Amino acid sequence: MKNTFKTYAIAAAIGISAIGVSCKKMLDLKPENLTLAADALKTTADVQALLNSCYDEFANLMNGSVQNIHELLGENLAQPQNSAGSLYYTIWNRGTFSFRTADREYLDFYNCILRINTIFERIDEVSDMTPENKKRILAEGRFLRAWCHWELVKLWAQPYGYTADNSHPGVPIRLKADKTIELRASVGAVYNQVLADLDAAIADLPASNNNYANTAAGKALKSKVLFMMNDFTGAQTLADEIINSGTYTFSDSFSRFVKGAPEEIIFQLISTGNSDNRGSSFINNYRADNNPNPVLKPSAAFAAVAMQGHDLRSKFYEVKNKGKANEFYLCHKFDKDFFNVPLIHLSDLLLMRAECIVETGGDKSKAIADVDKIRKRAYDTNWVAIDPLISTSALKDSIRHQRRLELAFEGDWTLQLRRRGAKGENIKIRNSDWNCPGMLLQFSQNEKTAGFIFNPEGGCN
Amino acid sequence: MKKHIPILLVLLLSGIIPALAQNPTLTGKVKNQNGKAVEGAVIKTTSGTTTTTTDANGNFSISLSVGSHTLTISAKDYLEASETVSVKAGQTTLPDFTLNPSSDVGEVVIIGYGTTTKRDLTGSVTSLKGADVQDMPTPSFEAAIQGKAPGVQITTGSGVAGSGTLVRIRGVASISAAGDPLYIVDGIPISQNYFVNGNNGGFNNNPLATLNPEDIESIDILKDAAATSIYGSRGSNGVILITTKRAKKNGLKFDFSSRVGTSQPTFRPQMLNSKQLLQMYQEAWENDGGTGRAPLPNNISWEEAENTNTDWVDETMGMGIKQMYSLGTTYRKNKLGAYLGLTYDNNGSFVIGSRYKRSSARLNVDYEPIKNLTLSLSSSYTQGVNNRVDGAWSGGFGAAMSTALPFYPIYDTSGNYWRPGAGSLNPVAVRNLKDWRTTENRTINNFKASYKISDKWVVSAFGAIDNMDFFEDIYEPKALINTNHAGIAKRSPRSTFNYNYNLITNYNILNTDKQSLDAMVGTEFQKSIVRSSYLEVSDMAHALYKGEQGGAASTRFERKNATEAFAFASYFLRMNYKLQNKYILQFTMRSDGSSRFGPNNAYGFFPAVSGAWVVSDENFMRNFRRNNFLKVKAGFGRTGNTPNENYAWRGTFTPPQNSFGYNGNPSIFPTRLENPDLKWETSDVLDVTVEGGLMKNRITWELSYYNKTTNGVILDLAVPRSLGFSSYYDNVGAVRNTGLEFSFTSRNIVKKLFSWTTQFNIARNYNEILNIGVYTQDAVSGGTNDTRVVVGQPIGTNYLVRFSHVDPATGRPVYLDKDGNETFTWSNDNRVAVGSVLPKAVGGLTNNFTWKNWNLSCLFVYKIGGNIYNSSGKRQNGVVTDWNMTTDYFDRWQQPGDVAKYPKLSMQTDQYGLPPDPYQYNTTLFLEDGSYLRLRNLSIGYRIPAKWFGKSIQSSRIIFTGTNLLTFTRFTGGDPEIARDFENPADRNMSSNITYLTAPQEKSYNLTLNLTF
Repeated sequence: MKNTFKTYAIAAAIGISAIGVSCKKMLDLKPENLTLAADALKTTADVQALLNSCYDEFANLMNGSVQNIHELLGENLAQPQNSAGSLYYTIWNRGTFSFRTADREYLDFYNCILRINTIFERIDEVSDMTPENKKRILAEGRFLRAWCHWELVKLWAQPYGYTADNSHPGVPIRLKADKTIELRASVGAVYNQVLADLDAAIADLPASNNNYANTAAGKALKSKVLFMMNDFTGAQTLADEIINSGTYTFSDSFSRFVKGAPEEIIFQLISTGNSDNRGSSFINNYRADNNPNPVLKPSAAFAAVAMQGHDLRSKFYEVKNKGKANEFYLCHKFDKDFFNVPLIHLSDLLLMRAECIVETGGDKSKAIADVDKIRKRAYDTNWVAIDPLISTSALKDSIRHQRRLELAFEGDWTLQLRRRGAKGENIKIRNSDWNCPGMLLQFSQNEKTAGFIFNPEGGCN
Repeated sequence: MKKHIPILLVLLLSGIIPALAQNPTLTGKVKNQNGKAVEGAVIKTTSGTTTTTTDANGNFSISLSVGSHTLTISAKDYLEASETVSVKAGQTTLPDFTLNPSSDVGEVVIIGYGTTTKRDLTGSVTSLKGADVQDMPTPSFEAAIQGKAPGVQITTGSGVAGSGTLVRIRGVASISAAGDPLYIVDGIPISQNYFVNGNNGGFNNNPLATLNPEDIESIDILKDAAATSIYGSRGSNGVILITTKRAKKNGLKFDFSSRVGTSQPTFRPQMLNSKQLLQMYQEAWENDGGTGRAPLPNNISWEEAENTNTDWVDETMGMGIKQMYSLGTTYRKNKLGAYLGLTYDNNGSFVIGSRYKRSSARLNVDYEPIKNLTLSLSSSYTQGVNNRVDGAWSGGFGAAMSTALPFYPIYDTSGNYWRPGAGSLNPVAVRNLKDWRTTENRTINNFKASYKISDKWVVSAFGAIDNMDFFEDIYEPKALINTNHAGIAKRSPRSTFNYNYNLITNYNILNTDKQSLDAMVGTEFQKSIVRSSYLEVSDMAHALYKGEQGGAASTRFERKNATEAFAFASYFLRMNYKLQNKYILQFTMRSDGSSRFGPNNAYGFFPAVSGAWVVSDENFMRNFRRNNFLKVKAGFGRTGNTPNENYAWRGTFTPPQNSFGYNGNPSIFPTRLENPDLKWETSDVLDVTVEGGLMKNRITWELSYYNKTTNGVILDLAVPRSLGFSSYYDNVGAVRNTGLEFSFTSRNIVKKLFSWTTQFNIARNYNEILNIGVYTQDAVSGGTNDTRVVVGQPIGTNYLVRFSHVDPATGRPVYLDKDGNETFTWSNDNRVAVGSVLPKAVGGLTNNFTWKNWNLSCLFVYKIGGNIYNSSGKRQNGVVTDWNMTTDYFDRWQQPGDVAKYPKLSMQTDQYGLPPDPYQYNTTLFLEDGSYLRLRNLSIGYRIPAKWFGKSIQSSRIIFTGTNLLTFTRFTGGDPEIARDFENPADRNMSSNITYLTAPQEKSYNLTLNLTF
């Protein structure tokens, strides 16, 4: 018996220890279909794919999500229905607070920045990276990082110029992919960072880049940033450069939300199908050809301005229950399964340049020529040229009127009003001061860390 | 002897020579309820003149005269039995006598990797029979445990077919890690993910719904560390061991059972009709200074509204029909035993369109090919098909209680479904047009070989596979959604392949009259792999389960998700020492390695020591004769828990095949930052239990106290989003659970014709967060619910602004600020921990009456104290929006001087002092007392006399069962037993007292026929 015991005991011990020996391996489960961070960036193609994901993330924000927020804060949209969990209702009422705010957008912009910063920190790990590729990839990263920071500061801070020295709080600037918590930088500092990134990007971006950022996109974006800073000279210089380059041609159609690439597009988001749709937030919230009751509808005030029979663009809008108590409007601008989303284009630059010229006291005829391009396309046979003797202020109004109509529901008009308010104009946005606290989004509750300043709330209604 | 019998018989019968009669000696056997011999049983005649005792094999011999005798059979630990026997001349044997345990101390209890008896048990375990979960129809077997096991709080999700149950054993010790017990079926820890489908449609998939209750032989619930630490890293929230049926007795036996029944809601939401709602809208409009007619939601005109009155509750809730057929076959011939179970269960819910169909087959075989070698196979296959409808926040009956307004029509003037844009506003259209079903194909199998090397030594090897293929199909046609195509079909397959194997050896080291020492050593490995994908075709005419043909390539989108896997590699040891059969000591230890942690923290060590003392066996207890049995046991040990995410510690990137890419080019991106320091959550548990029997064990009772302190609690922490990610897992903080449990069973009347037994249990659990490190109470929240982690409060305490009263002058709500001052302004900064998320006590009371062939059983369950937060109430009876209201809202302020429950009606959030978001009206106005007493089960059975059928039927029984027939509660928001749909495990742990458009429970009437032949 004793021997038997020994035999079995030894056998059991060997069996158990055999399992034990292999345990370490058995527990080292590497996720399938997920790459370990350490193994992720080995080749140029890997880094290129990471950069591509930055465009992807950015596109999922600029698919209407961000633009809709700006429109809701402004005067072009009717109050959305107070529906279950409607963030749009809260935003329209300019009452975001730390438990209901656009934290998805906030997170995703910073997630995009995290990805870019990861490229910056790990690009040298890649052995097959050529200097040209490195230069281009970092330039594209800077272009997107600048744009992300800019979009954040436009939503969560008062505009540039709100204080003389722009020391008012902006948003955290993140240049590293780590867990260090950053507090809000001043708006001035954020704009400086945006411009620094754009300057570096412009220097290194290629002239053409297959739907990705190129030199012209870098310059055009910088021009838009400068315009938002009320730096009309700087904005005009860059706009001139692009418009005069001849690379881009003013389109015959004002329908820019299409599947192709109109020749006036400088930078757009690419959709390749129903499932790869970078205009989904426009479509889901406005589309009216197969939805009798979309979430977002033009306001009566906007309809009064836009639904003029002689303007071809008025075909985008429709009135329902006309004359009844329950009258409302529909916007058909985004009635498609999918389309590319134009973010920078000649129409915008022409209107911007025209306004810059007027603001800087430049050659009025040039400004009229720019805005008349837009008008002629919109009014077609009903077009009447602007009187060359028009007053400066009337011309400015005309340019701005065209901007409001041309870029309607593209997230532009509210920002223009806030910019003009910061410039010193007496601006009311839907009966409230342009700088009332509720025009800014509140930060998410999660940002509550020592020293983080939250925005004041309310005061807009 | 035999040849003398006729002579003796003649003599006895003639009565001629009684004085000479040598009473014949008869032999017999005394067994226990499990068929095991009872040694030392005393058999007496009523006169007391004849007495005998059984030997080690339970055999006895006794001299009895011819004629009728009443014998009493008594044995230690068994109820005294009284049997009348009729001795005939020549008779030599008596029928076997069966004794039932006086308490359940002799009962076999299943513990981790083995069995013991209740007497020898040192840990805290509640054992239930299969019949305990088969006596009433429930959406899933675990719901039937409610009220039957002390310290086990069961909250049935709802009456929706296939819905899950919230099971909490001695509270919850985890916050972000799963707080559910570990379920083990015949030795395999089964996959039990409630979130395979998130909370799609306002419903969590129930992984236990595929287990067939009819197959269950017993359920053992392990509660303290002495019992659960053998499961080490997964024992923190208790362990539920499920043992399925096997063939025990020789012969062939069939058990057939059929049941038909109905399903109705226990509560009918009292929503406003069209006229009432329009009046409320108008009143709100005028209160806000509006003139003319109030604007109505979704562009409905007053004329249309006044001519429409749809009762959406009636349109979404009705009566469901249930039916179940089950055939169990057991066969045993010496060394071969088999159980074959076939069951079909078609469970229609009162929620129209909701149905769960379960078809299952089980084969359990035991075979002893050679002496001392036992082979066991357990195999089951189940298909569960759940016909789904939207519910809660997603629509269906949830819409009937919220956004489907009575002045919305079902059909438009053209006879088509009225569609205002968002489909959920017409739940009838959604239900009829949307084809939605989930299918689960699950097979659970194990094979065990056990070899008895000697009387002292047994080795066994065990291997098991649990595979579940889950498919969800959703099809929405053009008539329902905004598309210019025929319709969108979606399919989400998910397969979970889970296997484990172990090698165990049991050795009896010492065995003398006075003491024994047994040891069990084992090693185990488990791995679980989940594969999932997604297919969407945006131009289909039907659901994908009907075939994938029809969608053009350009309309197809397919994604293969990351494969998830985890593994555990473990060693364990258990040693049991018994001295004089009254001092019992147990030591268990498990070392677990988990793939969910980095190399630095991969292994955890989980020991436990426990002891039991059978006090009643001490000499000094002889004077306390009424105490038949008294035992004290105590244990201290450690258990653990892991995060739910498999790669929580690893830094990962999502590869190109799992992401869309952009501009037609591939993408990769970082998914998670690495946290190599993540480690086990550990619970240190102390348990002290006293159990006893009074009045010859007519009354048995048990009282337990426990204290469980959990350290290194795993939290999925919300971090500043400017980091570029929103949360990460970390070990932060501590939680303590303490509690008392008491239960008793009283056999009030034990007569042959009539018996009455009462079982009662009550338990109180209190848990408290001891610390959460440097984080604030908002660092972890329960999904969308206002439940938080607050130091000094239970997990998931309601964190709300206090509602004081309605200002009689203005009708505005008056809140209390943090310091208790009254204010008209609601503010997040004024939130405080309020109410009591935990009940003061929960339990059950069962009374069983048997009279002749009749049986009446009646189970009441109760919850004393504890609040329910009616989270949907704040929208129904708050700021007037696009939601319907309940009739409770009639008690509102209408003019100065009114003292009312609810403020004045208003469409303006600022009139309530709220930001522009009516959801923020989170106040104590909607926090209610959740106490209830419920007649959970009433069953009346009749055993049909055998003679009705002759020999063909051994026994037959017909039973009427009613569940949830009566509920006594003050809760106004629906059914007081609630478990809403949850977003993730943290929400499941933290938001157990929240209701949000949750469907009520089911009231059902059933008729069951059981036949054994």
